[in-house]
Amino acid sequence: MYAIEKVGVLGSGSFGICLANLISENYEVMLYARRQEVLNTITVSREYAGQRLSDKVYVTNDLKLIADSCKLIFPVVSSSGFRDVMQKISPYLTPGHVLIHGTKGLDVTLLNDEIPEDDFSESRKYIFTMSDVILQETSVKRMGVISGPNLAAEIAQGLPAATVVASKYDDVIELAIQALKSPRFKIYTSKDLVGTELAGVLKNPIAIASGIHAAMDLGHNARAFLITRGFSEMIKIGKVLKSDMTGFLGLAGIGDLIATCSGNLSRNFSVGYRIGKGEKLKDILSSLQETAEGINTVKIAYSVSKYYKLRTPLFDALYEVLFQEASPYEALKELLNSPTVKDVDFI
Amino acid sequence: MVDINLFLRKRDIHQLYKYVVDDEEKWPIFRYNKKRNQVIQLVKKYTLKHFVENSSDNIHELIAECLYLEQIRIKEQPWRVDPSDEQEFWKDVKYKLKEIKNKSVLGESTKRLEEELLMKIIDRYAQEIAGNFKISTYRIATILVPFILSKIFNASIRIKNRKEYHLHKNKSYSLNDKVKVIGNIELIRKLSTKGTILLLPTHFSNLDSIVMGWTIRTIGLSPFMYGAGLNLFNMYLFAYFMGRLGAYKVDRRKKNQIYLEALKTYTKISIDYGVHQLFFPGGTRSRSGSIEKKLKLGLLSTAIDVQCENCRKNPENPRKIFVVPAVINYHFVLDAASLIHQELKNIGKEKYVTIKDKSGSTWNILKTIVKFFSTSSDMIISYGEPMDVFGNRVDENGVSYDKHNRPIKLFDYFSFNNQFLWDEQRNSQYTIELGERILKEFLRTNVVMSSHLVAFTAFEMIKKQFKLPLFDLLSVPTEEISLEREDFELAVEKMKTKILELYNKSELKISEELKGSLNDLITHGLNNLGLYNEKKPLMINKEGKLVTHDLALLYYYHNRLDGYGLEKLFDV
Repeated sequence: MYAIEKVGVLGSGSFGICLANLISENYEVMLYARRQEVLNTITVSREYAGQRLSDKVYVTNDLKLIADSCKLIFPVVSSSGFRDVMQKISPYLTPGHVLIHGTKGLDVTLLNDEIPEDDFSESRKYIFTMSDVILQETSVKRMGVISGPNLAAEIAQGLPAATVVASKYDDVIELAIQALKSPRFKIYTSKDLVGTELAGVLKNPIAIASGIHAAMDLGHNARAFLITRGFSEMIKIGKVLKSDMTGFLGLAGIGDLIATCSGNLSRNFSVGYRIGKGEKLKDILSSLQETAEGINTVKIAYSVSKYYKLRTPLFDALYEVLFQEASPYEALKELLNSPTVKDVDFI
Repeated sequence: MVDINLFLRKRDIHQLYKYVVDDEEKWPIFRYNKKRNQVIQLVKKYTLKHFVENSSDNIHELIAECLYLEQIRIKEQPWRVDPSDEQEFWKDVKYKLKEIKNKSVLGESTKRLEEELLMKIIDRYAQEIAGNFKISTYRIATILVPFILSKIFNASIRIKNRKEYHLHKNKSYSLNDKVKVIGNIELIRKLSTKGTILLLPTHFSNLDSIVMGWTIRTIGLSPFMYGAGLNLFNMYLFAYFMGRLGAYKVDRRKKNQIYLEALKTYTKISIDYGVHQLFFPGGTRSRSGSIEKKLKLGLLSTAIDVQCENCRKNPENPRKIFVVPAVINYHFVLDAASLIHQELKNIGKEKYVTIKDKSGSTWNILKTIVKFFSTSSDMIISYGEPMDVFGNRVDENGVSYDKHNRPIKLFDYFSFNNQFLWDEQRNSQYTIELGERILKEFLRTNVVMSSHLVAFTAFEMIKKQFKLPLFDLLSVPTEEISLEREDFELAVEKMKTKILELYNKSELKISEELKGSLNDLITHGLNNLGLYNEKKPLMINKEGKLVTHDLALLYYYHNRLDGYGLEKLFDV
């Protein structure tokens, strides 16, 4: 048993609050809320994003206080704000801290639109997972990721769920198990950090595709077609981004795909659904309260695919629909007309 | 009476820097060696303790396995250096092991007997591994070797410049004119008094350990300890000097657990004692000619463990280990042809090439030395930035800093919530990360020389011309290969521009020729590339075209710039 005193959670979105409540079953939690109005709302009402906050959760916007009080911290802020938060907390972090993030997105701070063609190094020089960002910005070495089919709304209702904690360090995994132990939350472990991160990231575009499909009402066969081919393309992209395949085959990959592609609880799925119903992306974006990570991921995955000359017709079609205003019907037609290839070509 | 040592020290003209610690008796290696017997006792004690704590029920099997492997080794790979009583010793072990077995069948307790036998084996290994540094041998070697080498060097300069004899007549060139040492030397010198230095060079040539030994002295550090392959001790001349110059013996044939643990314990104790270490983390010489892509993590893992232990003992101010990567840069490697041949055989047929290596004889090594020092070709030893075992920058007081220049407490890496934790898995992951960091530092520390640049450019152009897979390309008859001088110049220019760009981003270092004109760069490169290899890897023929006599050799020298993604320049 590790001597955990308090646990920090950075990010007060729906998953942040869900995680804070879950951990509070075992330890006191310090929850970081970046925006003042959110902090005020939570402090007054003890409720946010449709969830009631446990009494053992203390909300603050003081990162120093969190770093000083908590040696185990779960950052779950959106990928676009992740680097910023890491930069802010970095002065208070030491190699004695352990970070386990739950952000299913990529950081592209260094990437303008596309990967420069004449650049020598591969795309991982520009495209970072959240663990890369932690390494770049802080002195923390011991880190991990928590990922899987963890729709916050269901966990908040007390429904059972499973997740995977991946880290190269056994002690990080042990700490996560100790902090998250719960009769309704089953934890699995993995050593494939990058694979688990990328699986969680790359499944988001497929969730958008599923949403579009649902709006178009194309039937179960077509949905299975989309998910399976999407999975195959995810692995192809993951591989060139230097990840193992094991992360994709578990809860963070297949598991999360099944959850987010089957229902409308996922933000990415909802975005897809609205696109499928004919709404414009910019209108949807302006109405969203929280980030739909998948939109950015489509853009990045598309660049990576082009850079490495991969064959990813589904990701290409998604890119065209989202950013080039192609009609979903046209994109679907193109997908069906793409050349016949081997079913499983990633093993 | 004339003090011969004082005399020898006065004659010392090859040292660029004064010794950091002048009093030889205060040198860590000297003090360590004075305690040689105590050290051996400690190795025995800790190695035994390790097995008793971790596999007390399996000591019989442990010895049996060791015996089995040793018997195979004695039969299949006997060496001249092996002691004459080997057969006898292991026969005795076999006999005793049988006796123990018989007793245990009768229900008697055999634990003590097993431990005694294990101790006997550990003792034998510890005696073999431990070096025997002799200050007198060290003094003689440090005078004699540079003296002879500079004589060869001076003579060759005079012969080569016969026409300008008057210019060189009264000049005495020292090795410093030939071997350039670059890097943050002052910091390394200061750190040598604050903790243990782990000097980790790349490994290309047989000359490397001699060269590194020489530069360590040039920059005024006391001698380093280093693990030398036992095969080198097969040669009388080397055997005589090496042990006395601080080498301990590493026998790569012995893969049994008892030996490996004894070896690990020996290095652990010496690192802990503060004896600076020289270690080639690549293991053997690079077969492909490229900078190491994978490291042997053995010694690095020992370093992490010692650092961990030191943090436990003294959380606030632990004794530190400083890692200094270094890259040795040559224009030619005498055995390049045989090395690349082994590499190609390795990757081509997936056939393991044994350690039997023709180039390893005394004669061959001496030949390399003479050839090297009688050419005008120079050598650059580039020291990388010193860091702690986590890759953090350190200042002259040995304080570690994170990326934002905030001081770091190493204890934090080994603890959670201020509780120290011994965790082997965590330490082994730290070791992997240290290895990765060192590989990156190698690339940054590497000095691009003119010959590397022309070799890389020419090979990439040939590759593009033929568009064949590597092995097919290498079997193209050399008569069919030629490059137009003009095209070559253009390509070299493109390469030079890119390399300067990388240099400005501190992603590599460059030699002086890269700062001069394109023409001089090409001439210098072609003159120096593979200078003493039997077949020229690249030359200009009568028609003014670039041709090769050995494409595999050109490939070898080309590989030196592998790892920067420069081949993409030739994609278009």
